[in-house]
Amino acid sequence: MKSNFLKGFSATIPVAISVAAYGLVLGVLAYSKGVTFFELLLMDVVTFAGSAQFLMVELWKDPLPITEMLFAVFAINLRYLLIGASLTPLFKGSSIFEKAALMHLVADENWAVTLSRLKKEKISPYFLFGGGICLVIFWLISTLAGHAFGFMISDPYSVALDFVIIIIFTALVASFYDGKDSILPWVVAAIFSYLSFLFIPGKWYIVIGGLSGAIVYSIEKHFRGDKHG
Amino acid sequence: MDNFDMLAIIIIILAGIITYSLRFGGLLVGNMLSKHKFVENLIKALPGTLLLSFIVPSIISEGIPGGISALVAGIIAKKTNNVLIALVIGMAIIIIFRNIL
Repeated sequence: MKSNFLKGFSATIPVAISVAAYGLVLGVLAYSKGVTFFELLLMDVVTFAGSAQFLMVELWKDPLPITEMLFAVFAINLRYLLIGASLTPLFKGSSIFEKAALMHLVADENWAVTLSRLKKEKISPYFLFGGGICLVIFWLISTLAGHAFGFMISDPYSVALDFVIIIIFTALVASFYDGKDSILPWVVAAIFSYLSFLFIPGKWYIVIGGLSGAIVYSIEKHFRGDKHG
Repeated sequence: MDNFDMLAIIIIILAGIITYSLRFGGLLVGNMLSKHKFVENLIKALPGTLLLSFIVPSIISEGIPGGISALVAGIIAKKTNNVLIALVIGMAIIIIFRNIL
């Protein structure tokens, strides 16, 4: 048990270091958007999901756009359903309490590290949990450090702080590119997003564009590779 | 009240509950999901299309520099698999446009 925890912890350190780089950026952004130190800390521990936290911070303004924010968090984190489902073999034989306790600290990074290790050797869910603890430590230190030193950036516009998130998301989008199958859904998502941005108040363009593109992807897959029924 | 905004705290906690339910729920429903190919594909495509929908209006608003920066960053990220390099170069392009050109 204990050794699985430590193995998972140490195997996750390399990814955790690159996660910490985003954490630093998130902390600085959060500071510039007026998210308090405590709110960021709470977000880190309670939500513990990078892209969702970036979205929340980005949408953060005086009357908080509650519905848009929660919708966006739900939609961006829907993939955790699949991530959770893919962990079924790892949790075989675990009690429901164990499952409930260990699932909170599942992020893309320790999930990926765990599944690739699971192909090679027999590991327990504590490997995953060790990775999660490793990530949460790096995440807390880096985001809170970014927040604490955020005041050093005096002119956010000229250093293009408002564009940091756009570039990070662009890079992440590129990593989701899945060959030709992605083209049509992405074009549809971009068009719907921009049209909603122009004509629908609030931040709904994120959800509208995202859903329309994803639906196109499903339909496309349905008519192409129909083997799975 | 300035430092302790109750609504903000509630939203953060709700976001946490939503995220946790998805994590735990995925493990509980497990194999049921893979039977519905349509839903599975939908969920698979969502992160990419959502993030794309998020960035498109900002890139268009930023004009040509935004387009160049995003395109270069995207290509670099895809080729090198390194988001940080993409970030540094993409930011450099925007900063040069805003401050020098």
